[in-house]
Amino acid sequence: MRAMVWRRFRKHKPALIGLIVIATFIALCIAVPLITNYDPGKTHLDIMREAPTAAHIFGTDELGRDMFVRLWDGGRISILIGVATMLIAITIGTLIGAIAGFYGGNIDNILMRFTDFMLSIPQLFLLLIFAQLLRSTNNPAISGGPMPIILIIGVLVWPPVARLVRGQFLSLKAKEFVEAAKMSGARNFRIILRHVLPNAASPIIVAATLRVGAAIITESTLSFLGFGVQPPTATWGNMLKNAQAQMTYAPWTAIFPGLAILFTVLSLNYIGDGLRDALDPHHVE
Amino acid sequence: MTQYILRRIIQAIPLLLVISFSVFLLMNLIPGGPLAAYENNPNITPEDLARLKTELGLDAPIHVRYWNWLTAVVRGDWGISQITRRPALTEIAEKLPNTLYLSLIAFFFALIISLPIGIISATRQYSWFDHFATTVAFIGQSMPVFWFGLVLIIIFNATLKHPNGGPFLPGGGMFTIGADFSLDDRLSHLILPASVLTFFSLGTHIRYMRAGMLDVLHQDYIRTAYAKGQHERAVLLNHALKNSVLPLVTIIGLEIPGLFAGAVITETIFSWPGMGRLFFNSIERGDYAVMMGILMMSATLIVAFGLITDIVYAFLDPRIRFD
Amino acid sequence: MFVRSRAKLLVSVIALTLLVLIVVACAAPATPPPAATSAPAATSAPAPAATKPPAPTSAPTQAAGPKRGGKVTWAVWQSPITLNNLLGTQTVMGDILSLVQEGMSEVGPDGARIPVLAKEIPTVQNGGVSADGKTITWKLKEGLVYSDGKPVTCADFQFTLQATMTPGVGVVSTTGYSDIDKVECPDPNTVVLKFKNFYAPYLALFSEDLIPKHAAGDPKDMAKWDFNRKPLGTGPFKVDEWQADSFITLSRNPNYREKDKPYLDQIVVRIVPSSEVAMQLLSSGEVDIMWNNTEADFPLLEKMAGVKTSEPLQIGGERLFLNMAENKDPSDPKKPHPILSDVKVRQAIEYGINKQRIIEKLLFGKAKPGTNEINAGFFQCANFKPRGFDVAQAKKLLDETGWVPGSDGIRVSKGSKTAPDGTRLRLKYATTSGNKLREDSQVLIVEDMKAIGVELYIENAPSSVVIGSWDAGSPRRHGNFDIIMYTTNASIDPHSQMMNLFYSKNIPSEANKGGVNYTRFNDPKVDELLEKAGSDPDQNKRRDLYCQVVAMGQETTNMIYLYQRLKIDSYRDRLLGWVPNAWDSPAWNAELWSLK
Repeated sequence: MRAMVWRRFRKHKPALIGLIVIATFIALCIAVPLITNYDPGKTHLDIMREAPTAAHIFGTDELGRDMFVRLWDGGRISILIGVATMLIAITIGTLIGAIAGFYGGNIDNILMRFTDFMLSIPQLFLLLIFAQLLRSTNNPAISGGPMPIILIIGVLVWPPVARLVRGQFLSLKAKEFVEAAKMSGARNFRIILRHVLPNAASPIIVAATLRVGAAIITESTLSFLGFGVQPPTATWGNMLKNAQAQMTYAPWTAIFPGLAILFTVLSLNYIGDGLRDALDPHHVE
Repeated sequence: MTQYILRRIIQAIPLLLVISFSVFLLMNLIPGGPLAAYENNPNITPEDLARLKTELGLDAPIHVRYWNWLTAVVRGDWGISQITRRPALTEIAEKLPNTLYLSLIAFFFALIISLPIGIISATRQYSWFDHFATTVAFIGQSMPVFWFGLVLIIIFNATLKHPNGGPFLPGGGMFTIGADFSLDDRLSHLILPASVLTFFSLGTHIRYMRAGMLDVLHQDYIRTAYAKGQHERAVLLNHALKNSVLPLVTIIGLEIPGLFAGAVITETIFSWPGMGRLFFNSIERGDYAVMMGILMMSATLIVAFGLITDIVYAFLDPRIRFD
Repeated sequence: MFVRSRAKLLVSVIALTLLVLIVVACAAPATPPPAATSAPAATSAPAPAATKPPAPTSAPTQAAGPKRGGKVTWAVWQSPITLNNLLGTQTVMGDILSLVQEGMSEVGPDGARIPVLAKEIPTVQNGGVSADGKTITWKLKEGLVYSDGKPVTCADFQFTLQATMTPGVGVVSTTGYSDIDKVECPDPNTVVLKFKNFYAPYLALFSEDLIPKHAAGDPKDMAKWDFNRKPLGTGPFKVDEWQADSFITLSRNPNYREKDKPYLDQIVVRIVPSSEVAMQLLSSGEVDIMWNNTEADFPLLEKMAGVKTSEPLQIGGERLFLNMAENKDPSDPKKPHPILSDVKVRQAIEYGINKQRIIEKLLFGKAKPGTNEINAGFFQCANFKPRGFDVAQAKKLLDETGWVPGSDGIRVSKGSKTAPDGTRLRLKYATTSGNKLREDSQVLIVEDMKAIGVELYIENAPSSVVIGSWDAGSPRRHGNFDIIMYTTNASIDPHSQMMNLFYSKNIPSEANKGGVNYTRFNDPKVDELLEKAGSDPDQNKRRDLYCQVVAMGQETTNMIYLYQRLKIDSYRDRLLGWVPNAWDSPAWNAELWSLK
């Protein structure tokens, strides 16, 4: 089964390229800050806003920081935000969707009304309100660095996942193998985990892939509105926001973070697409 | 059927009540509020601030203020903005047409572009066309909107020149201020923001259309039609297209309520006086009445369109039944 | 065959879609778009006054006189919420209103008051100010009319006071006006202010806002006044139309009191919420003036052809507030801060900050190092010697007062009077988040402090938190901060600013939630000087008193003034007659603006 999925995925050329791009980016994010001599946060005021040269291949920013090092340092945070919010959203969404779909009845009703509730409030409002709430707490553990952003995005974007999972569970729980497991006296929790969830995994995996990219975009949007991760912590989003004013005379400060976001999210979209096709039971060649 | 609709509507009322109370509470939890703008002004004394708090009705306990708001709304009064001192409804009514004008046009273009592309991509899965179309669609979704918008302004306003010597395209606003109405002028102002919005939503639309079509093409009755020796065009027109209406309904149901709330980034970059800006400003300024107005109208629309989508689905797809 | 028919279908669908797109795309540039803004007013030259030759006598320097007519577009990134001065405090509102409304006097570029509606500025010497300072007599110029032609009379000042003091309508500030007992009108051209209590900045009252009784309405219905959206005044322009968040159009006031002025026919204020976009519009010529630039715009402004900048120095400026009381929530102002209560530590921090480097690297050399609260204008202190950048002195002070370098270079206390031995010299450094310049200068100051062995860690918060109210938990009010950085500046009369920052009764506490003396500055001698300065009608004497406070403030170093900022606006060089004025709106002399 796994081999077949991989074979199909490999056929989806753009998805394969996307996977390679993402792998390269992650490798760079891990490696560059480790092996370089440059401290990504160190300012060099004698080389402010220098165009790309051999020494600084992506140029320097408005405080003389090396853009190449800073880009991959910021990439760590951006990708961390993407992955962490995905994990939070998928965990909450799957939990709520699974319980609602599996048990049905009143539990389903209550959980789904709660999901409706979350979906009925414009996300921008919740994001901005919670960003302010978390940042105004005097607890550095949740008010500083990327933490508030991870928490708010993660906690706010699960409802579509919950709906998706619930739908899967609704259709799967009527299937024979689930009935058989119930007959054999297995506990509900075990049935959910061992029998239903693996069969519902495909759409969840696809949704998870797309969520990572969406969170990276959301972070940049929040940065634009002034509610993103706060400097000096770099992210692609706040690097891009800061580069706005100098876009015309120091374009490299805007181009590289912009392209990093573009290629990352594009690749993730393709991977999601490739996975969808590879995991799709209707797949016809 | 009627009973089902009635039940759904009755169910929606407590949901909206809970939403209204929750957002009212949340709004008041964040620091700031309508008086925040005066806090750092050396010429505004603590006495002034205390007086304003009373005069703007901010000193009552939160449940009292919520109750006042709720009873007023039931009577059709959405309150007075504590910032601009105008009725919240006036503020909203002023911006809503601008937003609908922009977002409906962008939505329309996204639909008519994604419809054929989605169908072709589905019928020719993995062809060069499919790859090209999805790439273009994905790019729109993968770029931060503000970055893309600013690049467009730098190119089409600050760099490229129109033959008449001015900028090639206006860099924002809805029309040339003070000029007489002209279609050209409206369109030239519309083209950049509408392109950004269209490009941004294209990806979602194409994906929905493509997935929906793929789903349909794999259905047994399509295979039967092919097996009967029908032409592809005929199959597409008779069966597939008709069924692709379903994903279309999903898109419309999901996105129309969002159109109401506007697109804050696009509106900011292109100086478009719409709902997105109004909403963002109201959050930033602590303009409770306007914020509540927008949130509640938006929530109502989302609930309503959820219901409408379900009903349309039921009409179009005989497999779906109401219980 | 099969393939072909399918292809045909595809082609026709695509073609149709593309066609629509192309039609829309081409329709746009087919005709000249924003002709009005981009093409200078070639047609509007023969202005309304064609029958009257322009009066060269009243025109400035140029022999031929400025050209009449034309339209100027002014981009502002803040969206006005009201145009009624009593209901808002936004900078943008004041700046736009200066086109429309005028008051008794205004402050010129040199910081001196210039009479506007008044004949002269009342002083004790010319008899306009009574000996006790509680009666101020203003004489209006003859024949003043509003833009609708109705006369300006003393009754309008009475009405303005009445409106300002109307309870329940949400007037934002009544400061100063609440000290007036009544306005007396011996004749329509004489306005006598009778004060209950002496109010030191009495000249600032009625200096911006005059509400014509006939154009307003019942003060109790102020929120509903049409006047809020369409103010009427004696200024060079009048409001034609305001579309919220979009634009305000203003046209020439035909009844303006100075002949042939204003020269321009129209001013369009365009609300462009993104300042980055506004810069591009300035560069393309779509707008003529960009409001309120920051220093970060300089590199781009310098590269723009045909763009000038206006950059007068502002008073006050960006500073560090050092918390001298304990950094608890809430703080007891009587208890000292474990580190910052030591004056030598505070002075060492100032010696250790390289202000010039911040100015050169972040402000493009375009500001001045900060000195003190009153560093410009009439009340400026002449004999003030600012503290320089002196790392050796900083280190020496820290050594002397019992802070010695630890193993990693950061100092720890060894014999400090304020902190137990072994305490690390580590302080929290906060500012409002989202401000690029502040965030960048934080990075530099952290580096500077590291060099003298002081560790600062950055913890920023949104401005609603940093500069919020007591009830919102604002750290500067509660006192749970070490160092906070932001800008504040005094008005031309520093009375309220000095009271806020140095008067001990203004220290915030649970009992005094509105207190604004954030550094917890507490000196009975200073209290006495401030009280004296606030009760003397003689401006020269007041200046001496304030300067004594300023000197004592420097000795105490409760605040470290980093840089004195510029008030930056930029405009295209086709606009003539611009005079930079740090004390007023960029459009303060718009009646003299004209086009090349």
